[in-house]
Amino acid sequence: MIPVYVLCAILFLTGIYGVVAKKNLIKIIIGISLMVQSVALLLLILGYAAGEVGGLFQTIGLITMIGGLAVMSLMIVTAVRLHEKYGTFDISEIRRLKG
Amino acid sequence: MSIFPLLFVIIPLAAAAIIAVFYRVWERSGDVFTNVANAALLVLSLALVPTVMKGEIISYDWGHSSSLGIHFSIDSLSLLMLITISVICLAASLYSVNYMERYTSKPRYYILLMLMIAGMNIVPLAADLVNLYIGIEIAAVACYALVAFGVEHEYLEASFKYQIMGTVGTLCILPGIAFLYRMTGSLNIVELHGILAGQGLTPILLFSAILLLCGLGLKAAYMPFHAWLPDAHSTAPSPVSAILSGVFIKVIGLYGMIRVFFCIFEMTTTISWILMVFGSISLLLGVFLALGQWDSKRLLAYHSISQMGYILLGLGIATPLGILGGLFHLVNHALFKGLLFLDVGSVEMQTGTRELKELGGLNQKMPVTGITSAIASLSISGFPPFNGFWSKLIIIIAAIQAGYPWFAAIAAIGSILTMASFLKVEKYIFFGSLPEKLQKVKEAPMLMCIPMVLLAALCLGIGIAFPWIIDVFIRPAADVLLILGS
Repeated sequence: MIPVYVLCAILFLTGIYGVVAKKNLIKIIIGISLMVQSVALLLLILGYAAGEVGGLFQTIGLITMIGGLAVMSLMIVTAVRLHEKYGTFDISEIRRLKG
Repeated sequence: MSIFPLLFVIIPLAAAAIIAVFYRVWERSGDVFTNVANAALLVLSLALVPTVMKGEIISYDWGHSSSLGIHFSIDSLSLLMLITISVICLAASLYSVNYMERYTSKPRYYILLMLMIAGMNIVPLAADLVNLYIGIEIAAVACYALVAFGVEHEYLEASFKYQIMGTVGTLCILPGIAFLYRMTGSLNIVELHGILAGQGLTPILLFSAILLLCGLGLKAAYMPFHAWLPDAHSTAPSPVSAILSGVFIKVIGLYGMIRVFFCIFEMTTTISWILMVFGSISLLLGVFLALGQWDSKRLLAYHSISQMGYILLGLGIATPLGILGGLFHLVNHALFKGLLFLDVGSVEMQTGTRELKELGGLNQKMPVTGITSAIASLSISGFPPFNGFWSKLIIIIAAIQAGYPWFAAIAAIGSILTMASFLKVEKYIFFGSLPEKLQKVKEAPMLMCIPMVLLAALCLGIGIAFPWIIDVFIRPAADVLLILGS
């Protein structure tokens, strides 16, 4: 079981790395997507470890994926609109708000 | 078992659906149905006051008896939050009727607004953690879209930042809930309190507490997690800003924190210190950052961080008086911060700018906005007899009584700095000489003045009648936390 938890943690941290270190909007969104999948995986594993079938963990896992999908599609729409306005996906150039 | 809790969710959702169907046929359906729904929610929440504030809990269960299914319950703390949400949302929706004319596709704005209100109402109603999470998520997704509603450069940028931070927050909350469920086998908040009572924190429980603290902290925008707030709150359309600063961050972030750290985990000295330190850092740094701002809405947004610091400080002290002060300040902050955003919004709408240096002397041209904003500024800076004074005083007294004179000193310094920065707002917007190009400015339309006058009257009224307000509304809510915490 332990290796799978470690895998979840690695996936989550990779996602965090993508969000924090990358400058491209699309790569940031990919980072968020990795984090959503790692949390969903964690929930399924916790459910498996608890020995439940069709139980609460799987339900929450599904909710996570649906919620992730909603947020991700909104992010992609925003990223496309940002590209229309600024002509770039580079966050270091998208800086009108300061202070 | 009662149908009342369900109505708080059904009414806004139904209003959203009705507007979505009818706006093509009848242009004003959005204006009408949003305001009717919000007024109905306010009446409904006030109608529950006599029963719930006596200590009765109204609950609604649907589906399985276990954690699967929908479980809502209204205790006095939930009702306090519901009333605050309804008041601010009604004011914001009345204000939107004229204000949102500047934007295209107003009906879509109303649909998103009602979805956000439905999500916000689910959070205090939720009797288990998954419903709490679902409420947070519904409100947050609607809110991301509302922040980006102007679809110009700044709106999109602020919304994207908020989306990233908000989603990271959500993804911290979920594993926290999952580990908690794995260790205890329950998600019901009351059951969890029973299971965890008397137990020490095992490493996994501690991990889940930290995850929940970070996730909910990101939503509540405390100081290490605040980066998204000034952008999102200052760029959103003004009525949305009023809801965001007034109730959204409190319901989505702070209420979850209260439930988790008072009602589930036992309030230990460690947690108390963490909350107080977070609170006082936000309090001071928020007000320092606000002092240097020249964009009026951005200044107000930084003050939200600072005032949230007061609330967290009061709750962190965890004595009966501290909790009372924290909850009272929560209500008061919702009222005066909502009012300030509405005032600045009407100045922005009539003059076309929110830069402090370009404004001046508007008291002659916009008397209603001027007077209401003076009342709100006096309230937020803690001037007697307005409501902000009493709640800050209670927090400071509680800090001294509990033996934390330094935190009391920080709160007092923060209050003085708040006053300094609002003197700046008042001087640059409403006093001084009127610039040449603002000679033709007129007062905001009637429908925008009504909610401002209403909120100003509440600020003054609560300040004068504060013993009654505390006895009827705040003390029962604080008792919920004290009974569970002891």
